[in-house]
Amino acid sequence: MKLHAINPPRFIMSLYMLVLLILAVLVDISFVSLINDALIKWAMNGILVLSLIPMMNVGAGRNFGMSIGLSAGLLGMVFALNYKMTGWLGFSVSLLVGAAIAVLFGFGYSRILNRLKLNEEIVGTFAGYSFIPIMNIFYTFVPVTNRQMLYPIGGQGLRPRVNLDIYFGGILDRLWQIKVGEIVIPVGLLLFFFVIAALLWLFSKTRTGIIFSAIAENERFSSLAGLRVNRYRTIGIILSMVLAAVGVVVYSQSYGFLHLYDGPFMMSFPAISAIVIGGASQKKAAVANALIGTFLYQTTYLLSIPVANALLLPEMAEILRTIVTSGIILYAFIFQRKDAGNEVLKK
Amino acid sequence: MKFLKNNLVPIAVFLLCLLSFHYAGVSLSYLSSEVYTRFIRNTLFVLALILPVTCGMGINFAIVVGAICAQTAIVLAMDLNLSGLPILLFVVGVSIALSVLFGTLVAMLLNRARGTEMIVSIMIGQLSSVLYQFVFMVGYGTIFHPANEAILLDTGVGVRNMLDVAPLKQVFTSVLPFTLDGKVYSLLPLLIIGTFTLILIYLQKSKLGVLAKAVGSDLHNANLLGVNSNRIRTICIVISTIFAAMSQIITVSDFGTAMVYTGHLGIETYAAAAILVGGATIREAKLRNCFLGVVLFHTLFITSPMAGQNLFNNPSVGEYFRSFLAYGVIVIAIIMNLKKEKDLKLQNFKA
Repeated sequence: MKLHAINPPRFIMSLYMLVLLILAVLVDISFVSLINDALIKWAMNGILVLSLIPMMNVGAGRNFGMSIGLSAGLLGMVFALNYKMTGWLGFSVSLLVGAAIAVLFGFGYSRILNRLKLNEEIVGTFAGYSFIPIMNIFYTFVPVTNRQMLYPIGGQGLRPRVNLDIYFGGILDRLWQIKVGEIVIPVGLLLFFFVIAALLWLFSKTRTGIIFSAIAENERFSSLAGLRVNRYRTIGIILSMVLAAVGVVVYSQSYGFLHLYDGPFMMSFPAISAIVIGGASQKKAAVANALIGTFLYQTTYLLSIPVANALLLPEMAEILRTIVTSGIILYAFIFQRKDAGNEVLKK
Repeated sequence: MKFLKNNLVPIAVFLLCLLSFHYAGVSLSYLSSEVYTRFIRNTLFVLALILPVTCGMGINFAIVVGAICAQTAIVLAMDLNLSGLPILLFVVGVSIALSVLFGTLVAMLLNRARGTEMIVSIMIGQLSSVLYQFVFMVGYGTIFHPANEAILLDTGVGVRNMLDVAPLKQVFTSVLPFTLDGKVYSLLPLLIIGTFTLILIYLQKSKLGVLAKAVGSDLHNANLLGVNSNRIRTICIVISTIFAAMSQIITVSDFGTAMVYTGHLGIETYAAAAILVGGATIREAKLRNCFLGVVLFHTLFITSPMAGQNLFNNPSVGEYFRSFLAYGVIVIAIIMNLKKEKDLKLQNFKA
């Protein structure tokens, strides 16, 4: 795939960003705080977008069931917070426990998806949706001893939002900050993000990574060539889930809250939209697609907030974001499936 | 035994309903009055799903578009200060016209997305829902200036979230009222549902229904035989959208208040869950699946929070359970459908 070719979503988003930038200059907003926020938002949401890559590359579709992996990450944080682990200990325990649970969930999820080839996306959407109420029942009954996480009255059931400030809120954001004038560069957070991106890039160059793209290209041929397709799909799905779990821990520490219950409900759509903006096609996604896409998606959203406020229509920012999200995903389904359509015709 | 195997989902849900009703501890007359309300509000949404399933497009989650058309018509009617019979005619007429227009657009998109119609229809539903919110939240008061200023927010931009639709409700309650469990209900919604059911039965028996079945069972062969499959699919989606619009009109007038921004959200999931609970698959849906499914799903819907309250001292458990059921049954339906297709292929191979 040519990375530098201008694909329509990226072109439209760049244009949209330009319009917003001009409007932002006209309404005179502070660009310093905008750049600071943009850097944090980029890394904060970036890992969630990166988590889509392994599944897309192995031909298991865009991960609409991301909330299963997100739930694993949330469980990791619930575990760490229950034992009142603070600072780096809490953060790393959350990551490890979350990743371990994600392996388990991912294995179960892959068992479902491997039976439902070509239907992964619709099944994933509803598997993800139906997993959330299951987790909600779990959050209601889990025997947690840390009072700060429970509802103040009754003492049963976790709160929808737990403040992370006294545990590990913003721990990566504050690591190795470099100040250039008024601009603050969160080097620690960006480094964490880039290391994961680099590892994914390296993974795509390994033997397994190359087999992944062969399976995505032609599954039947790969299976005739002696590759154990389902095994590699399982690896890809588990990897995606683990990255989603890691991503939500990083997201939460930036956000400052542990958002349980319906928190992960709508998190897969923005991530998928971002990677499509970055130029990924259904079966081929590069790390660069995720990096560019997340930056464009998050920065346009950030820009639209002050512009909408200046126009005295604060609801507009969220509406515009949802229009972009669903419009771009719709585009991906309708215009990027031409080659897939040919395959069906040939049969 | 075969009966049990073929109707596993409805039987399981029926048993759950019995359990839930037992633990909820409500009277049968309360339950029947609540189920009646939900029956008239939801049945047409569920009937709207039948034709798209027949022509092989799976479940049409874009029935949201129909609900949006109806809500638009209602807001316009309130803007024009109509009442009496004219409001009913206006709302029905405008929503059918809008449904034909937007239904055709939806069908154009779905025809380009063969094989992934279901998820594309979800995305179409989401996109049209936000575009609709955008028009009424931002466009009204800035670009469009309504004749009736009372429907706007105090800031002058955007329509109020809750609009009183008393004129429309009056039309409904004035026709054939009857009393159930101390509340007055009208028979008009039932009449409308009955009429549309008959229309649907006629359509299924007509040339369109036969062609839709042909397109649904084998698109490629239908095309070779000279059936314009895109046209058939478009007509089915338009009819589905009109049914959904009618259902939304009944819902809003039964409720008495139009929730402009939120009234159309979530209907598609409940409709899909109801038809699948009734025993339909994503390849085959019958009228009896609809009626059975609506009654079963909404019985569970009403009783499960109360059962959760009585069993676990926590009403939200029941709510979580019912939303798990609503989404989970869709996954189960897709899995079972694939299994069935595999069995069929195996049978054909052996034969």
